[in-house]
Amino acid sequence: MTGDAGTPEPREPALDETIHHPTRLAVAAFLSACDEAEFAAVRDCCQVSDSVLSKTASALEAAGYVGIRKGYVGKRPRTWLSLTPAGHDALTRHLAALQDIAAAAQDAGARVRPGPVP
Amino acid sequence: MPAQENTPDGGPYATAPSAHGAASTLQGVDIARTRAALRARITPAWFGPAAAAVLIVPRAVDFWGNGRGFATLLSLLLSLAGLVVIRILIRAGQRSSGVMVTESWAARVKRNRATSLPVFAAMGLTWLVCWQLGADGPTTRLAAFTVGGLGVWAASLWRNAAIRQQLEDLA
Repeated sequence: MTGDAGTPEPREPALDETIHHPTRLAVAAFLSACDEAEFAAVRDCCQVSDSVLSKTASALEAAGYVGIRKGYVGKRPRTWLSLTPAGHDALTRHLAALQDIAAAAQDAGARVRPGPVP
Repeated sequence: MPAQENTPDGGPYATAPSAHGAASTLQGVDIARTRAALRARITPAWFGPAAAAVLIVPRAVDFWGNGRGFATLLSLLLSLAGLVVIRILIRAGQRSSGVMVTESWAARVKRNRATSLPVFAAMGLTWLVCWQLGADGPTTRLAAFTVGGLGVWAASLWRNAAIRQQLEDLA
């Protein structure tokens, strides 16, 4: 996407409903740190069950945020998950929005903190 | 453990994200990313012995041939094949860890310098000791590369143990 001047439009922080849920966010964050991860590795590291991860991955795939690749290691079937560029973008914007919220609250807290009593 | 997908609880910021919820979510994201990076660095149990064999076998062939032309040529060919095998082993190791991360050689070397420097130092020291004792070329090379191979194996075991400990600490 480009602006009128032909320069890339700045991507503004925005909360994304699709990765709003903690499980989806944990999966997206895990996948953002690697090129591709096997289903079992994601399940173990995100501490979710097979069915929950399957459901989460399907939802993220439907949104275009996660790519699912099925293959074999020897004769064993394996499923590999990866975050798509759209997923990376959505995650970046979502995290930026969360950082803004946390920073705003910190600033507000600093402003209302009472000074020393004379 | 994150809230399950099919539970109504949306976590620390189910309706509107609070500052506390946002901060704890960001912390969770950092932990998930760290877990992925650590998991990608775990090498399978066979990696250490296989890498040791790749380092030692060509030198053993060289030693067995006692510097004769055929044995030297064979050890050189085995060394070249060993480089290819190491590349394949690294790739296979990553795949078996379940997490694939593309990393440049420079970054990999920088990350592993804490374990590779002592191995190189031990190899150099062995080389020096053998040279001081008057050992011939093939013997010196075999001794140094045997120390190097065993060092790589030990480093692999140590690194995996350290990573597993870090993963446990994050759990």
